[in-house]
Amino acid sequence: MNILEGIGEGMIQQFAYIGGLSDQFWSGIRALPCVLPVIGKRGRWQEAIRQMTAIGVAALPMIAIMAASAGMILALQGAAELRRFGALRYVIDLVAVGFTRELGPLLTAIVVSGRSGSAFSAEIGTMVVTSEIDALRTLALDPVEFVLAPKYLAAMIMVPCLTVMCNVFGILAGAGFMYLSTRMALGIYVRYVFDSILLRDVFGGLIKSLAFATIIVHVGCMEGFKVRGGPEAVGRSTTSAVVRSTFLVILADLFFTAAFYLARMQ
Amino acid sequence: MATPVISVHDLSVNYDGHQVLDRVNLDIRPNEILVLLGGSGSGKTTLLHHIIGLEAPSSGNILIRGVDINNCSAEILKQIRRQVGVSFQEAALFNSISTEENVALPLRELTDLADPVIEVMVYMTLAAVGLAESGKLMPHELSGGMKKRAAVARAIALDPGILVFDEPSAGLDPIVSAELVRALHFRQRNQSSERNLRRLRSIEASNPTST
Repeated sequence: MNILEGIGEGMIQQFAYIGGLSDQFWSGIRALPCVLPVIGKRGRWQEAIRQMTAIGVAALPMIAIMAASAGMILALQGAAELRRFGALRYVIDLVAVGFTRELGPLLTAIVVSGRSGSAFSAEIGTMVVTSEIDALRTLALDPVEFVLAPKYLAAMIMVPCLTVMCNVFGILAGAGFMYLSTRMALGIYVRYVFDSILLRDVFGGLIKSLAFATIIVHVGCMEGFKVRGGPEAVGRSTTSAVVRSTFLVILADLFFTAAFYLARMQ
Repeated sequence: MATPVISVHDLSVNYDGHQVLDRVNLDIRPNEILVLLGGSGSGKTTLLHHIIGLEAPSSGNILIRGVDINNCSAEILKQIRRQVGVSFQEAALFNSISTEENVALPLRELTDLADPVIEVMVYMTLAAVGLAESGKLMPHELSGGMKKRAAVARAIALDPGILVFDEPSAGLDPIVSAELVRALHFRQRNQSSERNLRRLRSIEASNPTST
C-alpha cells in the first residue's frame, strides 16, 4: 500500500465514522421522546434518572474541586500581569468571563468525557461482548432507544447544570483570591462579576455545553457499539471514547467560539 | 404437508474469504423440533444468528412465515422478531437488572399488560424453569445453569410461536436439563409452537427431525 492509498483509506474511515455518528445522532433524537416522563415508555424515565445521578450528581465534587482550582490558577496568573499595571480589579472580569464563556463548559466536558464517556463505552461494549445487544435486537427492541436515549437525555439535562455549577465554583475561587489579596468583600465581588458578564455569555456557554454533551454521549456509545471481540476490545474502546470525544469537544469549542466571535463583530 | 415456518434457501456465509456455511437448505414446519448437531466451529451459531436476522448472509435467503427477513422493512422485521424467542449460548441476561426484571422486560416493552399481571406471568414463567425463588437475584448472583434457565424463561415469556435455543443444556446438570426439556415439550404439546433446539446431547427426550 503506498502513501496515497494509506491516506485515502484513513480519510474514508474517518468519513465513515462521522457518517455513523450523524446517523446515530438522528436515531438518538428520534428515540428521545421514548424516555420522557408521561409520554415515554414505562420504566425508561427511571433509567434516565439513574443516568442523571451517575453523570451529574456523582461528578459534582470533582467538578467543584477542578473549577475552584482552575479559578484560583486563572486569578493568580492574571494577577501576576495585571498587578504591574495597577489593574488587579480586572482579575474579576478575567475569571468571570473566562469561566462563563470558555472554561466552565470545557472543564465540565473534559470531566464528563473522562467519567461518563468512558463508562458508556465500557457498559455498551460489555453488552456487545456478552450478546446483550443482540438479545435486545431479538426482542425487537432498538438498542439506540433502549441504551443510548436515556443517557442522551440525562446528559442533555445534567451537563448544562454541571457547567453552571462549574462557573459558580470557578468564580467563587476568584472571590477567594480577591479577598486574600485585596480584602474585597464578597458582595462587591459579585457586583463586579454581574457587571462584567453578559447574558449572551451565559447562554453561549450553555449552548456549547449542549453540543459537548451530544458529542460525549454519541462518541462514547458509538465506541461501545463498535466493539468486536473480547474484553480487551472493551478496554480499547474506552480509551478511544475518551480520546475521540475530548478531541471533538475541543474542535467543537473552536467552532462555537469562532461563531460567537463573528456574531459579536457584527 | 404444512407450510414451513422457517425456510433457509441456499444460505452461504463467508467471513473474510473463509466459508462458514455453504448452500444450506432446511425447512422447519409448525410444531416441529429441529436439533442441529455439529462439531465446534461448524457454523451452528452462525446459522442461528442468520435465522434470527442478526447477520446478513453472503448469499441465499431466509424466510420466516414466508417473509424474507433480509429483504423486508425494519417494521416487518420487528414484527417477525416478536414471534421468535431466543436463548443465547451465553444466556445474555441484562446484568443491570434482576432476573425477574429480565423476564419481565419483553412483557413490559412489547405489551400493554398491567404490572400485577406481568408479575404473575413472570413468576409462572420462572417457576416453569425452576427459578421461582430466584427472581430477585441479579444475574451475577446466578450460577451458569441458572442463567441458562433464566434466559429460557425470558425467551418464552411472550409465548412466541418460534423458539430458537443456542446450547440450552450446556452447563446444566442432567436432572435440570431433563426438567427443562419436559417443560418445553409440555409447552409444545399445549401451545403448538415450534422450537429449534441445538446440540442437546445431554437431552434425551427430544424427537429430532432435520431437512
